[in-house]
Amino acid sequence: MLTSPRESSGEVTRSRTAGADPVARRARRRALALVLALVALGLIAVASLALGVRDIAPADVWNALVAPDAANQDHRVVLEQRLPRTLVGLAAGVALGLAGTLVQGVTRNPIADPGLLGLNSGASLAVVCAFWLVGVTAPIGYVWFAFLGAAAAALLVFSIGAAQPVRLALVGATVTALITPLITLVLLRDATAFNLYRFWVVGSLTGRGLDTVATLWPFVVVGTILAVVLAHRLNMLALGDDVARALGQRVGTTRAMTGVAVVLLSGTATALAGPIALVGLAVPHAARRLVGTDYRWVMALAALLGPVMLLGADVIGRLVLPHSELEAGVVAALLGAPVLVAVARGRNVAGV
Amino acid sequence: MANDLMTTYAVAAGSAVRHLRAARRRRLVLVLAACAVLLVALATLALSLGAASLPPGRALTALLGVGEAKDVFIVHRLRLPRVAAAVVVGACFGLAGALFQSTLRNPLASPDILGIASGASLGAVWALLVAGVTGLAVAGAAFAGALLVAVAIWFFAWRRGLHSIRFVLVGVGFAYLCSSLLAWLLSNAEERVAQSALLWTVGSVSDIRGEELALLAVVAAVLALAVSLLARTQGPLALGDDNARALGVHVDAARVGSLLLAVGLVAIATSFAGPVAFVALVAPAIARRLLSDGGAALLASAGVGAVLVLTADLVGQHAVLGVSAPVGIVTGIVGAPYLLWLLATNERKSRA
Amino acid sequence: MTAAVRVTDATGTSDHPGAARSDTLRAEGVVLGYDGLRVIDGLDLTLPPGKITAIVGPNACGKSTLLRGLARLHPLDGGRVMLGDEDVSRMARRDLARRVGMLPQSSIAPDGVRVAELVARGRYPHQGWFGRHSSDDDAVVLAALESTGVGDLADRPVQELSGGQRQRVWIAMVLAQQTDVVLLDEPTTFLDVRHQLDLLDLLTELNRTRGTTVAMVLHELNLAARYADHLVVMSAGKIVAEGNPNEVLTSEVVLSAFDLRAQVVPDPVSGSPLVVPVGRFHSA
Repeated sequence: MLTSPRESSGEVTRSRTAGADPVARRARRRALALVLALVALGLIAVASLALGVRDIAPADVWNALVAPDAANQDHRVVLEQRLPRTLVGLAAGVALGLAGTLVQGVTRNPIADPGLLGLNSGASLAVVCAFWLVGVTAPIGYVWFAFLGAAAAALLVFSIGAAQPVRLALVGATVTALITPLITLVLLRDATAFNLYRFWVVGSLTGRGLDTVATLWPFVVVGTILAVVLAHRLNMLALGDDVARALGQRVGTTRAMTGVAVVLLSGTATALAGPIALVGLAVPHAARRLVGTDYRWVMALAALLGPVMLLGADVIGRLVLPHSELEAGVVAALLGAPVLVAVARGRNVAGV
Repeated sequence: MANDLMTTYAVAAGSAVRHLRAARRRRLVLVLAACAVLLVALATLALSLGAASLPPGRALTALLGVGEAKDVFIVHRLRLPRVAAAVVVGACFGLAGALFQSTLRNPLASPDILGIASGASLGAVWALLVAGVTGLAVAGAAFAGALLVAVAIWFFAWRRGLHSIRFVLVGVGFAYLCSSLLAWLLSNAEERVAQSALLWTVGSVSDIRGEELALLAVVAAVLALAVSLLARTQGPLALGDDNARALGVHVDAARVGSLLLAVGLVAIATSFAGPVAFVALVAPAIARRLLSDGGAALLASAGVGAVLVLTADLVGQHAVLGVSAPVGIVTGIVGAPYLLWLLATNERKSRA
Repeated sequence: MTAAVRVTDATGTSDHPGAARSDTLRAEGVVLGYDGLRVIDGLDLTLPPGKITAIVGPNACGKSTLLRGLARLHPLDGGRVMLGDEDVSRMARRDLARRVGMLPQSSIAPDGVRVAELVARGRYPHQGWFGRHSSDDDAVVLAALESTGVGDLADRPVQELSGGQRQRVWIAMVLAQQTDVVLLDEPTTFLDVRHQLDLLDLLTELNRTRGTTVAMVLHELNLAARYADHLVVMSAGKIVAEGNPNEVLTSEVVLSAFDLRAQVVPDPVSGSPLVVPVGRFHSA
C-alpha cells in the first residue's frame, strides 16, 4: 500500500527549502565575487591611465579620452603611452587568465599553465630567431613569430600527449626542456639577439603600440568565445574521461578545441607582453578559491582577475621605483607567488 | 609465523613470485650494465677527443700514467676531471630528480620546475652582477640560492605535515618568481656582464677539477649513501599516505628526509656545475620507462643521468657546429627528444 | 576467475582458531575530528580478539574515521587506542604495522606496478634497512597471492585487473603484512554480489584458520549480520548497539541508527538477522 502522498510531498518540500539556502548563498557569493572583480578591474584600468611618473587627475584622463587636445601634454601621455599599455594589459590579462584555466582544466594538473606546456618557450624561441635570423626588432613584426612559435610548440605537445591528460604536462615540460637550451644557444652566439631578448623576456606592457593590439584583438575574442563554450565541457572532463564520455562528450574534440583556444589566447598574450610568468597559473587557482570548481564561473572570474593582476602589476611597477619602472612581468611574479602560496595553503588544494 | 610459512613454501622452487622478482632484477642489472658500458665507451671517447686527439689506446695507457708525459698531462689534468665531473653531476641530478618525483608523486617534480635550479641561478647571477664577486664565491651563492628557495618552499608549504601538492605548487610559484627576477637582473645589467652571467645559468662541467672535484664527489657519495638508507620507503610511499602509514612508514619523516637529500644533491651539483638543465626531469622519466616496474628507479636514474650529462658534454664539445657549447645547453637537446620518443611510443602501445 | 577461494593453511595451526596470540585492539574514550569539527567524541570499543567485527552505520556517522583512528592513520584529539596493554600512539610505527594491518578506502596503485610487487610492498614492516627481500618474503607473498586466489595474476599490471581482482590484490598486500589484526575500510565497495560474498568468505576463512582478528566497515547490513561475530552499529559518532548480530540487529536499532523503518526476519540461509526495509511506497 502506498503511503499518504501528502506526507511524502511534505518531505520533498521540506528538504528542498532546507537545501535552497546554501545554494542561494553560494550563488550570491559567486555573483558578489564577479561584481567585485569587475569593479576592481575598472578601478585598476583608471589607475593605469592616471598614474605614473606624471600623475594625471581622473577628470583629465576622461577629457583626454573623449575630447583629446593634441597640445595638452597630459592628454598626449594618456593617449600615446598609457592607453596602449592599458589595452595591452587588458587583452593579455584576459588571455592569460583564460588560457591558464583551460590548461589546468584539460590536464587536470594543478601546476599546469601555458608556460609549462611549452607554449612560452616556443614563442620565445621564435622571437629569438626573429631577432637573430631575420633582424626583426619592431613589436608588430615579431608578434607573428611569437604566435607561430607558441602554435608550433602546442602542436608538438598536443600531438604527442593529447590522448593522455596526465602525460600532457610531462610532454609540455619536456618540450620546454628541449627548447630552452636552443634559445640559450642562439643567445650565446648572437649578442644583438641577446640584447633584444633580455628586454623582451622580462615581460612588459610598454613599447607596444596600439597597432599590435589592433592586429591581435580578434584572436583574443575568438579564444574567449571558445573558452566560454568549453567551460561546460571542462566541468564534465573534470570527472574523468570515462564519465565525460558517458555524459555524451567527445573528449578528443574537447581537447583539440582547448588546444586551439590555448594557442590563440596564450600566443596572443606572449606576443603582446612577452612571456609573463605566474598570471596564467595563479589566476585560475585564485578564481577557483573564490567561486568553487564550476568552470563556467571560474572562467568568467579568471577573465576578470587576469587583467586585474597584470594591469595591477604594471601600475605597481610604475610606482615603486623613484625614477624608473619595474616591468609588469617582474611585479606579476612578485604578486603571483604569494597568491599561489595562499592557494597552496588552503584547505582543499587538490580541487582541480 | 614467517618460519612456518617458509617451511611450507621455501620448497616451492621456481615460484612465480621469485621468478618475477628475478626478472625484475635482471632488468635492473641490464639497465645498469648498459649505463656502465655506455659510460666506459663515452669516457674513452672523451679522453681521446679534443684539440690534441689521442687514439683510444694511447688515451687509456695515459690514464694509467704510462706513456708520453704530454699525453698523461692532457688525460689526467684536462680530460679526466671533466669526465668525472660530468658523471658525478649527472648522477646527482638524476638521483635527485628520481627522489623528488617519487616522493612528491608527480612526474613533473624536478628541481628545474620546482624553482630550486632557478634559485641557484638567481644566487649566482646576483653574485656576479650585483655583488660583483667571482670564482668560488659564485658557487657559494648558487648553493645558498638553491637552499634558500628549498627552505622557503618548505616553510610556505608546511601545514600539518608536508603534502605533495602543496610543495609542488609553492615550488612552481618560486620557480617563476626566481626566473622572473633573473630575467630582470639580466635586463638591467651591462651588456658584457649580462652575457657572462647568462653563460653561468646554463651549467657546465668544464672547470671542475682538483679539490673542487674531490669535494663534489665526497659530498655526493655521502648523500647517495644516505639515500640508499631511505630508498626502501619509496615503495610504500607510492601507494599513498594512508597505505604507507598502515605499513609502518613515518610518512612525514620519510618525505622530509627524501626531499632534504634531494635538495642537498641538487644544491651541491648546481653550485659547482650550474643548473645543468632538465637532467633531473628527464633522466628519471627515462629510467622509469626502461625499468617499467612502477618503482622509483633511484639507481637507474643516477645511471641514466650520468650517461646523459657525459653524452651531452661530448656532443657540446665536439659536435655542435665546431663551436664548443656548455653541457647545460646540450642535455636538453639530447635528453628531451629521447624522452619525447619514449612518451610517444608508450602512448601508441597503450592505445593499441 | 573461479569462485572457490582457498585459504592455504600456511601456518599449520588451524586446529585452534582464535589463538590467544591475537592482542586485543581497543579504543578508550577516543576523540576524532577534522579541523576542529568533532566527528567522534569519547567512544569506547573493544575488538574481540580472533573474531570478525563489522561496523555499520549511516553515511558520515564516523565509522571510517573510527577505523582510521584505530589504525593510527588519523590523529587522536583525545582518549587512547590500546593494543593489548600498549598504547598504540607510543608504539613505533613499524612495530604497530607488524601487528595491525589496515586497508584504507579506495587505494590507487602506482602506474605500471605488477601484482606481485604490490603485494610484496606489504612486507615493508618486516624488512631491514635496505629493503632486501628474503626467501621468507617470497614465500609469504606467494601465500598471500594464493590465499586470495590471485596467484596466477602475479605478473599482471594491477591497473589491467577487474575491480574484484584489484580488491583481492590489495587484501593480499595486507595479508603479506602478516598481522594478527586486520582492519578494512569498506572492502566490498564496487564489488558485485558474488565477489562480495567471495571476499567475506575469504576473510572468514582467514579468521578461522589463522585466528586473525578482522574488523571492517561494511555498508551491506545483511552481509555484515551474516559474517560478523560482533556487530557494531554506529550513528552520529556514537555506538548505538553492539554485540552478537542476532541480538543487536533489531528493527528498533535500524530505525534509530539509520532512520529507516524495516522488518528484521531470520535469514533463510544462515539464520542471521535479515533487514528488510519498508520504504515510502510499501507498508510493513
